[in-house]
Amino acid sequence: MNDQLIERLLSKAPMPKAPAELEDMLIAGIRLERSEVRRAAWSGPPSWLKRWLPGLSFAVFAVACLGVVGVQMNQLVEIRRENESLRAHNQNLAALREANAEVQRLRNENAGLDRLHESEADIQRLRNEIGQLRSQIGELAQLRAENQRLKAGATAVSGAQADFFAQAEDRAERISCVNNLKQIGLAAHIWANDHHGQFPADFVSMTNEMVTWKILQCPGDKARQITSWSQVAAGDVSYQIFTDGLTDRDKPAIVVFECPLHHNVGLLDGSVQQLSESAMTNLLVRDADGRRVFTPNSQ
Amino acid sequence: METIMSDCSQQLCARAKAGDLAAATQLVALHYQKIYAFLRRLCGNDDDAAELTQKTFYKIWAALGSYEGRSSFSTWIHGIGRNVFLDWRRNVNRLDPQSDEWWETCADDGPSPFETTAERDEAARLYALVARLDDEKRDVIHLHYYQGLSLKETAEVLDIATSTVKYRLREALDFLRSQPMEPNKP
Repeated sequence: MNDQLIERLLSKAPMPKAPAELEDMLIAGIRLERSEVRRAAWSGPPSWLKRWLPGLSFAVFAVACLGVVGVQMNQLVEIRRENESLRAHNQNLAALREANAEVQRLRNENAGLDRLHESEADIQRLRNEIGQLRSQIGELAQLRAENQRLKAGATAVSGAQADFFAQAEDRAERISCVNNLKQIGLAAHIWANDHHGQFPADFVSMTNEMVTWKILQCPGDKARQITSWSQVAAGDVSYQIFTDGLTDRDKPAIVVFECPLHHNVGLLDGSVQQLSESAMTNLLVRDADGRRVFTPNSQ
Repeated sequence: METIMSDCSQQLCARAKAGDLAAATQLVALHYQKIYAFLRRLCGNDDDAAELTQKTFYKIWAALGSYEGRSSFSTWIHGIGRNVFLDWRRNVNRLDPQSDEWWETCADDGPSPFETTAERDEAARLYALVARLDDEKRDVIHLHYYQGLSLKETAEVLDIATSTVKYRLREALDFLRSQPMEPNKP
């Protein structure tokens, strides 16, 4: 079957007959609206707008494209102008490079000069420091001389101080010696009290009445060093004792104990007198029994 | 003949838009047979075709005010009829197959358009093949050959380009030509 036959048969297709009552039903169903009423309500955009809307859209798009193209053309012209300007500047670039090289060389020389100036400033600063050091050396010599002089003065002062300390030490030793004699006198009186007023004949006899043997050592007696009661028993003591036949009923001023180093004397009544070497001669008077008696009014 | 009818329909339409009931009655008389036949071929039974025809004319009267005459009145009402059929098919979701006997009973009361019995049999087989086409190709066959619309009117009804109508017709004819024509079963 060819196309012509197919098209002919299709064109001759039978038309189904509508029912007889359909036409009446369709006529009865006609519902017409008056055009005036219909036009009162807005039915969308006007027909000309519907017809020309695609064209108008295209026109708006074309105008927008033209606007964009115009802006881009303007930018292109500006870029070209700028490019030409850059090319003109580029022609002077070689001269600018030479000038730049010259400027760079001058900068290097200037840097060298700056370094020289800095070196010169350093030299000047070092010179000033040398001058200051020299002046300080002079001052140092003066200080050294002053120091020598002060040292000499200090030596003299130390001699005087040594004398002062030696005197103070001698005085302290003398006072300590007086205390020793007082304790010895007290011990002798205690012993005598226990022996019917009779004083001991030596130091060993009253060892029980003395706290320690150290009170029998005079501080000024550097040649002697008492370390035990046995030395006391051997008579190795700093003081002398004169109690032969003495009782506590004899004259109170009779000399009982004596420090031959300091010329301190302990009397029978327990007191101690500090006497000089001349006073030993002048103030101690021997009585009829040959005992020395301290008499202060004898001068 | 078609041009004269179209001009007449345009005048009647203008009068009906103005509220002329007689003009509307004449429009029904002029077009209801073609719309019924179109829908009858598509839906496959008489009752649904009659109902769809009534719906189509109901929509025609409702939309008559928006008809502006850019296309012919016949084209316009075919478009409405096709949309009514598509809505109906979408809801019903069925399509009755047309039997071979239908083609014999639905013919005009007048003399047969076919010259011989053999040609009549070939036509029946051809129409059965058309029913097997897909929707796009079947629509252009119905509108262009069965309803007698021009290529331009067919394109306006389907809202596609004329070139697309030509392409679909060529595809449909190629399919029909390629199918073997078996004789009718006794």
